[in-house]
Amino acid sequence: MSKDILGLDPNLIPTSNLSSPTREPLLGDDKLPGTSQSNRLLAGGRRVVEVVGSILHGTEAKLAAVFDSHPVRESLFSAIGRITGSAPKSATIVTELVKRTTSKTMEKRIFGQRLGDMIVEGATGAGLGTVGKVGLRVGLGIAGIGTSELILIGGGAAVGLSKAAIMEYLHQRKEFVAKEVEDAGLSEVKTELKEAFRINRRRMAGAALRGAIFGAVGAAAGVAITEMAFEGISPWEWWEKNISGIKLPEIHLPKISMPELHMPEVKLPEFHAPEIKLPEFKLPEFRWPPAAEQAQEAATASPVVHGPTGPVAMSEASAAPTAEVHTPAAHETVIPGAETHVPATGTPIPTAETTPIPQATATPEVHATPAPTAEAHAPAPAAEAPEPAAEAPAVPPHAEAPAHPIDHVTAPNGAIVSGSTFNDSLTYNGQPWHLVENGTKNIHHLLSATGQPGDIDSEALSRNMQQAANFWSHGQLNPQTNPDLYKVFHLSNGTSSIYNSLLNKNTLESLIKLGIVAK
Amino acid sequence: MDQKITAYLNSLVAEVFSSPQFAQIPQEQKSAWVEKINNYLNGVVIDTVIDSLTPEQINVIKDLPPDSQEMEDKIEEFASTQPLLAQDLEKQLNQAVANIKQNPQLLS
Repeated sequence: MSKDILGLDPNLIPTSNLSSPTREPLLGDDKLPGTSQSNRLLAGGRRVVEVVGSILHGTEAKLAAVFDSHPVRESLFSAIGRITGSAPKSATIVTELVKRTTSKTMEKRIFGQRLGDMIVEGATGAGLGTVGKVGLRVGLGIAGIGTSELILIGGGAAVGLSKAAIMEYLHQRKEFVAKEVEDAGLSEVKTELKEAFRINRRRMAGAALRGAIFGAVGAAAGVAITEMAFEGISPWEWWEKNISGIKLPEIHLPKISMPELHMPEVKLPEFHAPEIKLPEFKLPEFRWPPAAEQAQEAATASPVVHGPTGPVAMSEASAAPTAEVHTPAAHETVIPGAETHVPATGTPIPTAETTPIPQATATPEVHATPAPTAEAHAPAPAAEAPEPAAEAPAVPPHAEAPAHPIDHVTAPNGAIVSGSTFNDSLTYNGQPWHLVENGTKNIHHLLSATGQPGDIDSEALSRNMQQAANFWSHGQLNPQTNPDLYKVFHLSNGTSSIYNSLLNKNTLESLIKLGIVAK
Repeated sequence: MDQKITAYLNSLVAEVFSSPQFAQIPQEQKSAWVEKINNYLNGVVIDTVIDSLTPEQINVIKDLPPDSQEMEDKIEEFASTQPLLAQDLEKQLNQAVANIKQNPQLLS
């Protein structure tokens, strides 16, 4: 057998009160508008409403204030008690009413059992009220629920409301409401609402059942208030007298715990942001060569060979790996005239190695439309790279380095190198290649980093850089055969990682050996 | 509160399954039938509560999104203003259980 919706035993509900031959009518049959039980109930309740409602009128705000000022468990009863105490007239008037109508035995059965249990539920309702907007009104039983209907039920219960009478009342109310809805032209709306709620029946049905239980609890509280008024005692006294010993259910507010937030592990590329200072991003001075020269260059140019990653990568690829040698990945970009790579401040900006930005990768248009931007210098894709180490021509160690100008040599990576460092005419794919200028800046940084004071011999730097450029453009610069030139070249033109790896005393020794820095 | 409601509805479903017709349902099909019964009972609740609303209350909710939090709050609020709605729901649900037991086709 199913339980009562409130979890109570339905057998506790009295079923034959109004039909009892010993019962006297509430106000006397001659004053009732009808003779049926429901009419009698309605009339009796209406009278109670008139009396109690007038006394309680305007007290909602006070109720709420009292409620807020008390601990949750006691709030309901404290608040009710204070209100009742502040309206002593209610006790006298309503007690007179009930004396005429209600037998003490029935009164005890109602309030001592079923409704007593419901008052316990009411306390729970009040507790819930602290976390729900409905609860405050419902828990208090008076302040929010339709006051007249609540007290009507209270009055009805006080006179011994039977379950049959409740059902009859409900039936009449339904008919009444249905007629009102129909008169208002809302019948179709009601049907549409029923259909709409089929989307999520469980949710809305749950809300309806919660509300219904709150309503019943509130009604119970209202009944209790009425009873207390009848007896002329405060609800708290009544509680002690009738319900003492019943342990209130503990109110456990839901424990809210924030879920542990596990951020997915994101592996960032090596990007040392705090060390980065944006360089002065100066576009290299670019002068378009005469059209005739361009045509000649195009006619005489060797077939383009796509190197792995530009000059640095090519030269490294041809070298045996050492501790200092960095083997750049395909996405690394080496930019000639690389103020963007090696800033004046000495702090390299992140290259493609540290910030793998898609734009840094090569595009086929690089050779067709050279422009003085980093993108224009982007190397060809690594997939096209040959195995450079095997093809690199062997150069005897410390071979005499050529310092003559380069005349349109196609480097292993396909770039056209031409000119001389001595008159600043060195170009890379027709664009100025400021090896000496960059080298000067970075050697200063090296001196600073190593704590070595000294002047830079510009002539020696130009000469050695020209030699290094010659070797490099022919694919012959590597750290084994020309370790000193290799270092000075990459100090001026390398990627940030290579540049950083060169900021040490070994490089300084090479510079001294080459006569660039005085000992 | 929701636990109380769930327990109450579960007791109704159990009562349905205690009837001879539903006792024969194979175990593996029971969960599907439980869902159907719950759906039916929830529909009864919804119909009952909507039938209990006054014109003023219907006007308040008629334009609200049916699956919204605001709608849920209003339904709960309006239901709580009817002290005897719980009894009415109980009666309707008991009747629904009896109907299902007599005629399982109601669930199809």
